[in-house]
Amino acid sequence: MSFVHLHVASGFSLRYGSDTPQAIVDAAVAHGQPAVALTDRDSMAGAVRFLLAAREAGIGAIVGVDLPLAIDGPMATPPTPARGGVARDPGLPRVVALARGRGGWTALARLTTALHEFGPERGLPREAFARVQSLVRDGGITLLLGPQSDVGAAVAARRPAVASALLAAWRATGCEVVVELVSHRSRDPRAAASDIDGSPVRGRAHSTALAARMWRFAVDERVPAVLTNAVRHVDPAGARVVDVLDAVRRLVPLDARHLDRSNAEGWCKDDAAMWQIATEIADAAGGDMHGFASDSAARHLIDTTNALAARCVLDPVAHAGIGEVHLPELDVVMGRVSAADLDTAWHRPVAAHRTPAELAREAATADTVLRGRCEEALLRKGFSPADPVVRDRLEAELDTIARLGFATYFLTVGTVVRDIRAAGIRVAARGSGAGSLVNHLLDIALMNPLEHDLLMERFLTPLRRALPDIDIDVESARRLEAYDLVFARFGAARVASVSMMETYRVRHAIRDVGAALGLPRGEIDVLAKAFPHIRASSARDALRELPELRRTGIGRMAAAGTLDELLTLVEGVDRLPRHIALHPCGVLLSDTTLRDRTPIQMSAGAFPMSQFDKDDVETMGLLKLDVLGIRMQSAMAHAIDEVERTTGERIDLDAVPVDDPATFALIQSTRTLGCFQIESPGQRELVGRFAPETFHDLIIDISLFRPGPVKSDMIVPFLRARQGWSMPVYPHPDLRPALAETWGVVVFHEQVIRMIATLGGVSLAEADELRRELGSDDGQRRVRSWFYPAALGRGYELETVERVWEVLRSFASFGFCKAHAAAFAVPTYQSAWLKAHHPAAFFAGILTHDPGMYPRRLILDDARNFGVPILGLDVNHSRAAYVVEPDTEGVPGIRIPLSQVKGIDDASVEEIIAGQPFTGLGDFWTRTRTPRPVVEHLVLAGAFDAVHGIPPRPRRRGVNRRDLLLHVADLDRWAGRRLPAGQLALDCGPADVPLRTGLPDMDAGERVRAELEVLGLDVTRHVVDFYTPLLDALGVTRSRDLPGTRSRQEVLIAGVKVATQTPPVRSGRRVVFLTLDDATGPVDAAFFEDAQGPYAGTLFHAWLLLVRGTVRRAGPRGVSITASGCWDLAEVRRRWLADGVEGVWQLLDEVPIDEDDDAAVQGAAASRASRPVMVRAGGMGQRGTQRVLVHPSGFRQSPWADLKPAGDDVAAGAPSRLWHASPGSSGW
Amino acid sequence: MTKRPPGALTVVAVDGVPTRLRWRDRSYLVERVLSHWVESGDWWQAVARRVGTAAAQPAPLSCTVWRVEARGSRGAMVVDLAHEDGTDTWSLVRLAD
Repeated sequence: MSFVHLHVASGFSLRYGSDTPQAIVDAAVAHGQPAVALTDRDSMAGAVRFLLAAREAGIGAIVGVDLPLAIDGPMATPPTPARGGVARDPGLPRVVALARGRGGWTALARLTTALHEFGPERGLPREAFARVQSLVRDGGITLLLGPQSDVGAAVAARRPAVASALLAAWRATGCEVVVELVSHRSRDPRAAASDIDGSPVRGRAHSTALAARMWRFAVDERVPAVLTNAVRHVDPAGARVVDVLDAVRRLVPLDARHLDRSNAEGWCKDDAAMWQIATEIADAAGGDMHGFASDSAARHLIDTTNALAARCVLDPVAHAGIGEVHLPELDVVMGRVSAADLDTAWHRPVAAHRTPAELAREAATADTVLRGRCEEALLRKGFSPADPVVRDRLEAELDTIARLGFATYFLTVGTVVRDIRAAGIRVAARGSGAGSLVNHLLDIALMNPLEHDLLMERFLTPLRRALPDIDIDVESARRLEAYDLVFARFGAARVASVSMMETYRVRHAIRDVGAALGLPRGEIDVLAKAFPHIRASSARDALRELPELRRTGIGRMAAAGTLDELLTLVEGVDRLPRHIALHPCGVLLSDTTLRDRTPIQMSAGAFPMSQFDKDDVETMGLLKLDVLGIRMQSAMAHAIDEVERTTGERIDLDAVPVDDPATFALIQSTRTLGCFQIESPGQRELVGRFAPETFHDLIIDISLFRPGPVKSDMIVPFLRARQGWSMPVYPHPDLRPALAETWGVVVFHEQVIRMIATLGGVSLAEADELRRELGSDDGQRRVRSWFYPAALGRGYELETVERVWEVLRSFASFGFCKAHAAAFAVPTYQSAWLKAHHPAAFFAGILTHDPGMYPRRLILDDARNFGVPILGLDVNHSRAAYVVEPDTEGVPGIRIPLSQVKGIDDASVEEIIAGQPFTGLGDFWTRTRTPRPVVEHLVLAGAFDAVHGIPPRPRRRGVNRRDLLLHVADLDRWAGRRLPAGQLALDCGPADVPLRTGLPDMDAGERVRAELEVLGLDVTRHVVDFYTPLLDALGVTRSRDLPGTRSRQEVLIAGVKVATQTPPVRSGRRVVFLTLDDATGPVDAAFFEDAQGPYAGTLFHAWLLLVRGTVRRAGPRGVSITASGCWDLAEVRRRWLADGVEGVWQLLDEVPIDEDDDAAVQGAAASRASRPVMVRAGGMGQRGTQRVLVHPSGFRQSPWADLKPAGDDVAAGAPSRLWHASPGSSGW
Repeated sequence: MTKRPPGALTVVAVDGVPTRLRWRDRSYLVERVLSHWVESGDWWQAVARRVGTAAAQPAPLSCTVWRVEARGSRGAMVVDLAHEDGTDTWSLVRLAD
């Protein structure tokens, strides 16, 4: 007979359970069990995916939460404090609350919310259960009182009267109450205080004997008893992982005393095994339970369990409300009703649902309001309302929106955007929403979709009932302000932010597993840091394949198999949820029923946050608005403010014409550092070859620079056709309208939609559904079996159909939404416009908000190359942020801000600014409380140079920075600071003015070193300047001279590392792209796999590099270097000083030894699956094999692309934050 | 945990239930099984010891402990016999004289 597990924890029970909800469902299916429960500790975060997984598998899903109880009454146990005196696992008694029916889901959500209000470490009072149960009809809570509960503890302690009283209290809550029996066949700890050999007995409450006693107690009390297995792991082997989790949760090394389990029995056992347990309990209970023999008693126990399970099975739609759309009330959206003062307490009465009639009335009103808004905007924005193109498009969109009932949604987003804009925060829509005319008319999207031929169907069709996504970009520095506006408008009862589960990755996993095993801290640290930020399950492969890891001691240990057991545990922890955090952008908007449908807890920043993540939220049908903080928006806002502050002119950036020649000249020059989207080496190369001339070109450029086009090799034919070197090729003349804008090359999703619609003879909406199917293997097969007959039936040649299909198929999962690219092109254009017209303000914005991939020092160098003077740190002129300030000749320059000084805090910055101007160091010391180390940093970085007349070039006479440093020491010794107003300094104090002490001044080199140390910037001179004699001696080619080099010429380049990126590239191999800055501009070099082995370590860890490579020319301005080696410039210099140029040539000829240098990948097997598959590829007779990710479209990618390199980012001797290392999402 | 009583042990079990044992060169007959339960092994100690050396067998996760009354030529004793799951390994973990 069948058995249903009612008490099962998944990994969403943080640091407690070890498996995914999916794995739990799979186990139930494997055992042929008709249903299974998910009862995580303190959380419903896994509930939604669990419901989906169970529905998919065709079994019943039961949802509960394992809740801690507030300590009161006689069975209270004290918490167990651990490291730091904090009770990490307070060891509170627990009950499992199962949801029954719709009311049960609501009650469970509210109980979970209540728990997080009280605090999981304090637990829930019993009254909370009563309050919540009283709120709901139609079902409610069923409580399992098991061995962990207060009742269980009383029974175990043989205090029947106490147990009885506690049970009565539980019954009085109104919740359904059952007694939960658990046997893990542990020893009964209560049988004897000491063992037969005199040692103390340790054990847990999951003994058969206790289960039998609880059963008898249940019979006496006339309460049903059910059997569970208190599951924490799906199969027995998971026991090790839960042991590790127990240790991690308590911050102690593994020890039997700290385990919650006493053996490995707490897994998803099959029916026979549970039947066996039931029989054993019945035997132990004496066989007279319910007057049955033990066999019948066991059957009765399992029957009762299954009957309860059947009543608790939730319907995902009817009970959990999956897929229901709950938009905010129209009155709130329209501002007719204030939303602020609604009570959001968990025990507030359940919200009254609006009746279907009310909802229908409201939807009709919303349609009317939306139409009115759009008509009004048509006139305001200068459309001609009678133009049939405009009219048809508007009517089509409004019709779709009305049919879906989403008018309120659009009005809601419109309201949010208007509120944000009214607060003076820069805001722009991104994503497919830019394709909707309605969005444009509501001022959600800036670009006119008709002008750029954007399709609404990519965003919203009547065929897809899901709420469309509208993403809003705001200034990153004011994102939380935007959140506050949403909360203010809609009220906390309707709004919550979305959460995000942070999961274990390899570094965390190694640290936690290592600590649990009690390995020495230092060793754990070395091991953890050795890994890049990857999934723990990839650890073994990383050790085998990455040259920079394989060559380490750890790599050798792994190769010898001595880390196997550790790595097995690490893999067991992989991807387990670790921490719930605020999602960086998602905001939920709903009506007042929000808190009946989702559990809420507070984020660290005190925002109400749903326990559901963005996928769950989407499944639930909750309206999610992505409000993304974009640093570039903050940078541009800062630039606009600086222009206004210095010139009085207020730029309306959103109204700037998009055909400015100066802007396109700048873009074509490839001097686009700091510009949104087009600053990466790869993009600079592309704009150099492409030379965009119009805004539409920018849209194409942004779309081309994606894995899809790179993979399909679209860039070359596209550029050839565009430059007029070849004629555009169209698969069929009918496709010319769809493809003409890109010279026959498919770049956009929108073009795929049109191609399918044209050849297949379907509507654009249907075509988009088919396009979405192309993303999976199965989908491709389905679309193919439809597409061929459809297109052939419409009279197209087989050859044409095959050619088009090949294009569609290879486009598959990649490609780009044109609407999204158009939305993205706006800030790209705007940032380039600012750089072209207001460079000083632009650089001030970029340097302040640091939006891009490059370190500040490179941007500063770029500013210098643009003729923008850099004004040094100055106590009297520096502000909190980078500001525009004219230099002595009146040219607008940028002033280095106080906030850039190492160790300074906001309070000090404010105090200094409030105290400006200062007459000197002594005055500064007296009137501010800036700590001495910071004052010294200020002196070293030259902040007092101007006020004390120290000239830019070192001199022999007069006071210098070293004198000032001594003066700081004097001032500190005499403590003559912070005098209350009116009090005179003592006569015996230090001199008011610093004196010349005879110490030599810092020379230019020392000054730059101090600047790098203190500011992270080389302000006065470029670091590479100091290497000029060496570089000249070696004949190193400078960035500015590269355009004059021949293709395939061997060159040496050198400079400061500003970026390394490891992006996905066409060949499927890992390529490391390196950008150096050599004071004349950036130089880019690519390291392919054959060049990485011996040099990867230097490449990732050195700061100043000499690189050897061959020139690769691509297009008029495109020059890049294929590297064949790199060396630490400091080492090269030492060799040069010792042995001269000959010594350096010798150094360059020595190839570092890499014993097991793998040959390059020979090509991945063309296996096709819906998701990328990892393929081992290796030639005959090669020792090493390398793996390649193969996407369904055939795109190959190195598994190590998109990774941060291993190790600390700080090379010895180089200050931190000086270069960028990234997976390359923002460019190459 | 107190130290295990040393001495060579062989156990004869029928269907997993111990019936006879030989310990310190003496034979005993199991007269009665007093109780049995499942106990966790200290697997982590073995793992932690072995980091950095080649691993042998994975350490056992748990064992079944049988508390039996056993009679030999010199009289009866109560012992706890632990059986590592999935192996033939038995050990005598506790002894009451």
